Amino acid sequence: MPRKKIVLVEDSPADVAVALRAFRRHHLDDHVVVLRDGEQALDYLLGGERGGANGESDGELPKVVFLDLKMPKVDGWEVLRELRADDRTRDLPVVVISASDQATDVRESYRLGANSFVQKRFEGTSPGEFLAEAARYWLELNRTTR
Amino acid sequence: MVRPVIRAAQEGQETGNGTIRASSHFADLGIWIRSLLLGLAAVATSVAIWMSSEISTYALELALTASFLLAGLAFLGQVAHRRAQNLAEANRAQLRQIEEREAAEAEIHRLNRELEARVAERTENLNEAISELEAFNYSVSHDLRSPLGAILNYAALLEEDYRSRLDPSGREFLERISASARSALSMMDGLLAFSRMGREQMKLVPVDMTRLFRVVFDELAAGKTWIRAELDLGQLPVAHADAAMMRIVATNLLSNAIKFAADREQPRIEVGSQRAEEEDVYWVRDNGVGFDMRFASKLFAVFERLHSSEEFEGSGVGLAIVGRIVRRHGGRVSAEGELGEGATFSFSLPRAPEPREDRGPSDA
Repeated sequence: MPRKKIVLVEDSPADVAVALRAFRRHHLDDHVVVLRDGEQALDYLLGGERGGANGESDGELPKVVFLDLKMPKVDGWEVLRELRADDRTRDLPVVVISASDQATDVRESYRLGANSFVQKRFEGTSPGEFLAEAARYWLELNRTTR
Repeated sequence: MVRPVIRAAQEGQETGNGTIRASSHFADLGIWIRSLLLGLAAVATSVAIWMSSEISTYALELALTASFLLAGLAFLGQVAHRRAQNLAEANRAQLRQIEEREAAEAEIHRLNRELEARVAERTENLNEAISELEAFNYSVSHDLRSPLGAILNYAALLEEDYRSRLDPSGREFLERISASARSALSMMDGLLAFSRMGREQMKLVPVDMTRLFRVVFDELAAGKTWIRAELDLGQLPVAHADAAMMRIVATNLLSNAIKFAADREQPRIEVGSQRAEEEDVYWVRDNGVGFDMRFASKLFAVFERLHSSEEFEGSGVGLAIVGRIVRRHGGRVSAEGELGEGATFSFSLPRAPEPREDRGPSDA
């Protein structure tokens, strides 16, 4: 089963709602899958057994993963650590999104191998726009570099 | 507290020595008299023996010599005994002195240990307070931002999907919900920035203030056509300060001036300086709405604002941040103004101890 191009790992329903709205504005909504916590994200990206034994992980990797930091069960950093430890997802573009822009969060995210760190913005007129724009940037980057 | 103890010990020592010396003089005098008496007794005995019997002159001389020798020996013995006594006394005094000194040293060590323990305890308390503050900041930026974000997000969705079904009053309420959440968010960010300014390490370097104010003004005005203000920038002295923090000071003062002069016919912002004895005073003046001098002291406090947020937006921490930065540099802030006539905000910075030739001024 091929994976979607854009993976959004986010537990806040409000953030998911505005993100989907923004992706729809940019006609990207067909390419998005939403995962509600780190556990689901790892299952989706590395396969149910984490070893890829069940064949689910054979599909193409997404072009970009948006990863929220604060999530129940497995948090964003844990997901990032596991993705970077696996040969298949070592270079997978991961954009960390967070409500905070605390220096420690930014530093730790990059230390663990994030490709980018984006603070969640709450734009009044076009909510979630920052995510859609970031998605377009990474899709474009992928197209031109391959 | 310890010094008097030592001095007292030394004084005691000195008096002790004096007493010993005085008594030894008297003792020597006694020995002389006793030796003399002994000698006289020997001579008298010899004379008596000589007179009572016929003994040769040699024997007499021998007896006399022996007598004097005995007397001398007795005298020397006495002197040696006294000397030994004096030495023993002096040793005892010295011993006392050493003991007192040791006691004083032990006291110092005890006090030092106590002080160290107290410092360690305070440091621990302080570290605890700091980590609590950091945890608080962290949870403010994570846990409080998220629900406010949710409010803003849902308000935006409501606006987008249900706008047509709301009457004007409903739309106004919705707008107010968003505005309140946005202002709470901006206050929170301001508060975080304010607390960050208090903790951040400072690196003092030469800062070209003229260039800094120019660059910041151009950045603020870039792409904002509603900013019609002109900047009248004088030549400012190079500051000895943290470059990033000076940039924040310039940004806050200039954006304030721009904001409050925006509705003037010809908005004007002036930046200048004044050289005082050991510091440089920089000021930013605008011809904007100004303020009542009665409230001047409130201007630099967190969340104090002299205008409603409907009139002029802002988090209410900008000037508080300026004040905190300037105070951390050892300077002062002040404000002068008149309602409707504009305002002048000044800050002073201590001048660098030694002008350094090896490094040029750095921009922020």
